[in-house]
Amino acid sequence: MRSFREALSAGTLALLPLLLLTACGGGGDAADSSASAEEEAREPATAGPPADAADGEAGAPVTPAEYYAEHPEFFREANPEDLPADLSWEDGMDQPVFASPEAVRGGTLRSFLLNFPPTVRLVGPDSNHSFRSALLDDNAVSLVARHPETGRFFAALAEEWAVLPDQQTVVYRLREDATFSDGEPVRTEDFFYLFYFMQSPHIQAPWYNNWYSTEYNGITRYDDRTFAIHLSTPKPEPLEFASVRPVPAHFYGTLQPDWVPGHQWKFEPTTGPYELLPENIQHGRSLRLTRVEDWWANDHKFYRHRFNPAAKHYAIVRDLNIAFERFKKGEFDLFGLTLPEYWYERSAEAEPFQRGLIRKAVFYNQRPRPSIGLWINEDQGYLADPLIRRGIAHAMDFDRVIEKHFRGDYARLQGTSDGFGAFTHPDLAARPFDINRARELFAEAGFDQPGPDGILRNADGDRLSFTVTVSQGPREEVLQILREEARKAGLELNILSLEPTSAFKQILEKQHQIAFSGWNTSLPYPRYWEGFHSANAGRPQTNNITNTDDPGLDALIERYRASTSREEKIALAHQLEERVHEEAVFIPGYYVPFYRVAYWRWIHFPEHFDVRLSQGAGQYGLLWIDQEERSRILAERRGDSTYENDVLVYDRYAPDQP
Amino acid sequence: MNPITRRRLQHFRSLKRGYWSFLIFAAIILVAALAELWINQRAIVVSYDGRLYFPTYASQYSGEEFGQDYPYEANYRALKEQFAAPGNPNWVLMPLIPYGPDESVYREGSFPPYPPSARTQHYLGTDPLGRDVLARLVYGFRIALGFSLGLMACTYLLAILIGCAMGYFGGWFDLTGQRLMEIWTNIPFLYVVIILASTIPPAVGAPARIGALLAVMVIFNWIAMANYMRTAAYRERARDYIAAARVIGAGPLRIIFRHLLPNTLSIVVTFIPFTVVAGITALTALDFLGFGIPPPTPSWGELLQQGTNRLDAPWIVASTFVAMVVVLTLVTFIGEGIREAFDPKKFSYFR
Repeated sequence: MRSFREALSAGTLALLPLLLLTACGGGGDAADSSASAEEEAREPATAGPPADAADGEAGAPVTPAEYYAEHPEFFREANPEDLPADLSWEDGMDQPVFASPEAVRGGTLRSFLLNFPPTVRLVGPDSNHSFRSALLDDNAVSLVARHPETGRFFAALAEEWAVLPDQQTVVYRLREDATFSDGEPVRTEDFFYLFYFMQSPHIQAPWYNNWYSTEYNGITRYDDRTFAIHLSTPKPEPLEFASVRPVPAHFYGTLQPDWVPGHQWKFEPTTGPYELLPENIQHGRSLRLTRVEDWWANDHKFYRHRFNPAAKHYAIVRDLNIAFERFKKGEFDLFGLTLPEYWYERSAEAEPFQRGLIRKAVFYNQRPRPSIGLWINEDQGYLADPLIRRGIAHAMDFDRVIEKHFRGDYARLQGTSDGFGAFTHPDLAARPFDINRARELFAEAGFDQPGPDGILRNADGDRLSFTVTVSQGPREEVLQILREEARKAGLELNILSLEPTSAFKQILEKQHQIAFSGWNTSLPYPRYWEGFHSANAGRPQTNNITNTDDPGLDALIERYRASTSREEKIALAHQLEERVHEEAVFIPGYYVPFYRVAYWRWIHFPEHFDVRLSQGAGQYGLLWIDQEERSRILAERRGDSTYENDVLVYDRYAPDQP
Repeated sequence: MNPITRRRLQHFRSLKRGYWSFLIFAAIILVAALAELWINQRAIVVSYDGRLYFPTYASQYSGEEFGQDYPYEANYRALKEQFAAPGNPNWVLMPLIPYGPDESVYREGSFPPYPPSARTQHYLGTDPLGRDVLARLVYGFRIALGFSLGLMACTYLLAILIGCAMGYFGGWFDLTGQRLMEIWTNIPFLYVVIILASTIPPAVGAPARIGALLAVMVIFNWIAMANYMRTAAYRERARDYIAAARVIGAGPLRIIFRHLLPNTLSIVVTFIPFTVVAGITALTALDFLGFGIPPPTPSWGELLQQGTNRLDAPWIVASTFVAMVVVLTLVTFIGEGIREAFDPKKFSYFR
């Protein structure tokens, strides 16, 4: 599923800050604006023309069979006997179960969305909205899935898999009983179809077109349930890329030029537990996902006792304040409380919280942290000077932001690759706020004369003043605090706050001086090529928004990319992180080491509440509803019964340092 | 001053509501213009080692100049406390409200927004960033009013020029002018502002950005006024005094500015207060949406936005709301007074 997530975030990631309040898993992330606003990707945003599809006669419908025949080098047919003999099949089933056996099925989980999704198509224009995670990423089941505690894979749609020694081919055998939500079995054809679909110009998704034609080298069919996915290059963890989801061939058939408008409100049959039936789409008002009857994975070791509610109802509430009021009335089951004012004042005063009818929980997770911070464009005037960049780093008082604005709840990011386990540099730390050190560095760079406004100047009379581009929203406030403190170091930051799409466009076109932004990062390991290789410098629409262009760094990155050994890769990642720190093109900001949620008493969670990689309550479908308790508590609401109302803290995965 | 204008002004004075509103509004403007002297984090006077310092309008004094160990601007509130120690001959005179509009003040153990309190001298409380609401209201008012007056002046200049020319010349000039105006009114203003905001390169400073915003608003605001001026000019040019002026040999420019304009001035004067109000509300709305003046410039729109997001801190939205109501009501009363005083049905003359 990883490739989808990346595609999802990279394709039109600018949209995400706009739709920043996802209701992923029943409002788990709602109100998590400062965190989910960072959901931006690490993949290059560039979208080249599809290698295969675009040179065909775009526009004329081609049937899948014709398409496979036209591209025999990609769509390979073979016989079961052709399977390599000494395959070592794996299924990852030895890992521990993470769902709670006490979970009960049934009930409706009610939450809200701030916007009605523009479409329920899973790809194509406008499909990259926040609700898509509920439709796709947290729902559909791929060939294999990452265990959210151990981080290793287990077989999902596949019964078992085998990685070939070349580290770029994975053979799968599908489960006999795997079906789509419309009852059709999942077969090899649906994976052939995936590539036909994703390479087609009719889906109007250039990023997908590109990804599925360049990252994959082909697919081989051995029989109806056995096939191999071939990657273009060897990878240390090929499963990450080779685990794809099937696209139902029987549902779409031959793609037509009007595919995009024709499927605006048609939800494709899914392999996941919830489906969106046409009668459950109330335009502009609500959406309701219902559980697939006799879901094929009901008895799968890692899908049992999960996705317990019989339905998930999402009402559209366009204002967070109103949504919170309705939550307090019991109209919604969950409410994300990552924003400090909701977590503290706004919930403290409310009666249902005081009486313990609503509980508050904080769950510390452990996952790659979005790299939120200041990205400095090396190609802009004085910012080319590393002394200036290091000086700016010392002039940014992120500790004050964390301490005062985020009330000490968030933590300082130390580099570009935090939260990657062994890949994270063990002792490299972000430059601390130190005005004297900053002034020394600025003086070394020639800025040593304070002007009448307190801002430093150099011999030419140029002021030490830079503009920071930021998306409108919570980060603007952070920047205003940084700006006030930076003045003490004689540095002026002008704030250019743009509507998110414009801000993102400006940054991708490298027109910014400094960008206050963040990329979403994803397992298995940090990426440097996209963000720091000279191949992406000075070109618009790539992720190298710092325009870093350094031959030494390039060589390291190329070795890192080519390496297929985990140990070597870790060592190289540490070296790379040191170089990036040296360059000082990225000033690490902060990260949220947890998610916080409020929920009515009738919602129950497993003993450990959630899993290590979880981003929000409900993402992994571990909660359940006690319907009897629900009617009882709703009846008691008018009375004066009280329960314990202490805050539940699950800090198994809390960072060591305070 | 010609006798008619004098009579009109006298009449305006006799309209109690409008006149008093005018006086109060003038007083508010005066007080706001001198905001640095009573709302500021900089001291009014510092006496240090026998020398007097006046930091309000001067360039920054660093902490080192007052014997502190930091190189950035002196923290006068801290200085005041330090100098207040017994036996210290130095002293600091702070303004009534010792906070600047951009300054975040955090207190130990609690988090902003802080409620109004006379003890901490945050008389209207603080916003979520710990900045004084009153300071932001006053400085924001000053900026909005200045912006609005500038907007009005530019808009009227353009509108009078084009409107009068269209009315006076008539014919094809009027016809094409009107069509162009019709086309122009169909361009969505907000889109242009959004596009503008994103296309100005980041290196351009805040003053130039505000200038560009002003220019866009002028370009979209002159049309309504130009229509009025065109109609008035049409009406006036048929009168005998214009014909007489033409017979004497006056050129079009002289006729427009010496004869036509004074006789249509009552329209302009009547509209001024309402245009000022519209300017303030437009800027507030744009700031609310995030397309106005760049942060951290204090603005009412930003306050309203913070206030509506933080209804648990009602002093933010309440203060801003009351301030808006007061200002808009005062200006509307003034406008009504002026309209009545300048009613051409009451006093008019032909020159």
